[in-house]
Amino acid sequence: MIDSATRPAVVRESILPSLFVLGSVVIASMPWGLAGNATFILPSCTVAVIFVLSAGERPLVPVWAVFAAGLASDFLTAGPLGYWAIIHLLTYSIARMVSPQTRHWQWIVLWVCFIVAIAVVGVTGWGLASLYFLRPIDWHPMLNGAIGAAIAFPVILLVLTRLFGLDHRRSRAIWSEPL
Amino acid sequence: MRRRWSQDESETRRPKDRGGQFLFVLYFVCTILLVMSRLGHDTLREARAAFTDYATPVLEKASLPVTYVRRAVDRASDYADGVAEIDRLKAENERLRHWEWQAKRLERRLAQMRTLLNGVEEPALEFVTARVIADARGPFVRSVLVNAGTAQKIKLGYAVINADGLIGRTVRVGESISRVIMLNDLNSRIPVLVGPAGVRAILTGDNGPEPRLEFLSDDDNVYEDDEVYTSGHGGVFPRGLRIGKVKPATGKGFRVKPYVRLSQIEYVSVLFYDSPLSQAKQISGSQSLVTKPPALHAKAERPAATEAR
Repeated sequence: MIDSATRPAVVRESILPSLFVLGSVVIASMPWGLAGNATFILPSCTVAVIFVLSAGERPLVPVWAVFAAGLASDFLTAGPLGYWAIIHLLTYSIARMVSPQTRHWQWIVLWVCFIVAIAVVGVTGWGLASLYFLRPIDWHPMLNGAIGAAIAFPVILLVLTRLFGLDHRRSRAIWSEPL
Repeated sequence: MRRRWSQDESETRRPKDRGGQFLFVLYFVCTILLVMSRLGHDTLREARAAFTDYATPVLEKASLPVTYVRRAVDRASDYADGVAEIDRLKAENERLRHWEWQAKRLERRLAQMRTLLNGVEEPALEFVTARVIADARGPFVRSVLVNAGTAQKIKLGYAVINADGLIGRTVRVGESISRVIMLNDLNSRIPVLVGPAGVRAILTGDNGPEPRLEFLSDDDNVYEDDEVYTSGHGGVFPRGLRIGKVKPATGKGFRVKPYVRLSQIEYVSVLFYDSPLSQAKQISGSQSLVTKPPALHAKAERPAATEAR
């Protein structure tokens, strides 16, 4: 039961992060005028946002919100329904798998972990798309997207840490380490 | 001695199991949706059209600041290259003034020849201008969403252009939003003519920046920098819409470098072009336009008997 005492915490720790993820999906679908090979950079940044918000001791964004954001991305990109939803769920799953260890990590270790995660997600995404078309598709845009997200990860981590007050949640949490 | 779960441990274990089960269910739902999308289920198509219709106001508002940012960036780069840009524009203006005179002269000759041949005048095309409000590019499609739909009398299959040339055609039309598939999309096939000789080919997209020219024969006279434009065959596009220039592909064959910068489209014009075949069907109703040829082995009618003299 959500009472008035816990309502601000619920809003901050569940609803706002979910809206943030959905907002990043909308921003990624805007006509920024990026070149053809750079089309995956912004969607990969959304993947980074989901990773950061899911990799704590308790995920800030619920799994249904991650699924809904992926589905929204599928609707907006005219791709097959379920593709980006699977990518987002996979990111969430990887983040939840490493979450017990992140309490003792420096931010740079989390960065390396994200690089591994985006590589796994990227290969899975390419494989899924190639399976859908029954032929290998061009992997350059996906590689560029993964590299772009990996480079942007520290900025995303810093912004989300400040935005959602992550360094106040736990005393030994990774977010409290100065960047 | 068997260890019994304490009540606390079982309570913490149950939410985790439920969370894992829910995650598994979501993965299963995603797989089902993927399979249904592959099969082209109508329900998904209708759901997608409904979603984009509802999302139109949000996308329109959200894309406005993006448009301003892009214009600011373009303006800044123009200022940075100010002098060089002015010189380039002056030279281009001179060339265009010469071509303007040529075009008017050819137009007069064309009108005279049309009168001599008693040719059919092609009607002028009406169009509506729309703004790109979402860039829907991914591993599967190269498309954009524009803020015009059935409310502006747009239909499926209408050609979409801008000042530089052909962009693509409408593939889904909602009430106030349409999806435009670009000419470099994997599913795009456009009948074209190439060069002064008018060599016929099909422009095939592969999600790359430059679509391929296919169904060319070895003895076709196609050269680098030949102009490519729509042929009008099939009735999907009107004839003569400029597309791009021929470039040699790595390996065998040719690709086309589009005139339009497909990643930087802001405003488009949707041409109201209904193919002559569909127009004729509307006029004749249910009558078939194809008349059956007489049966090959039908007995010929005997001529009226005449007395041999």
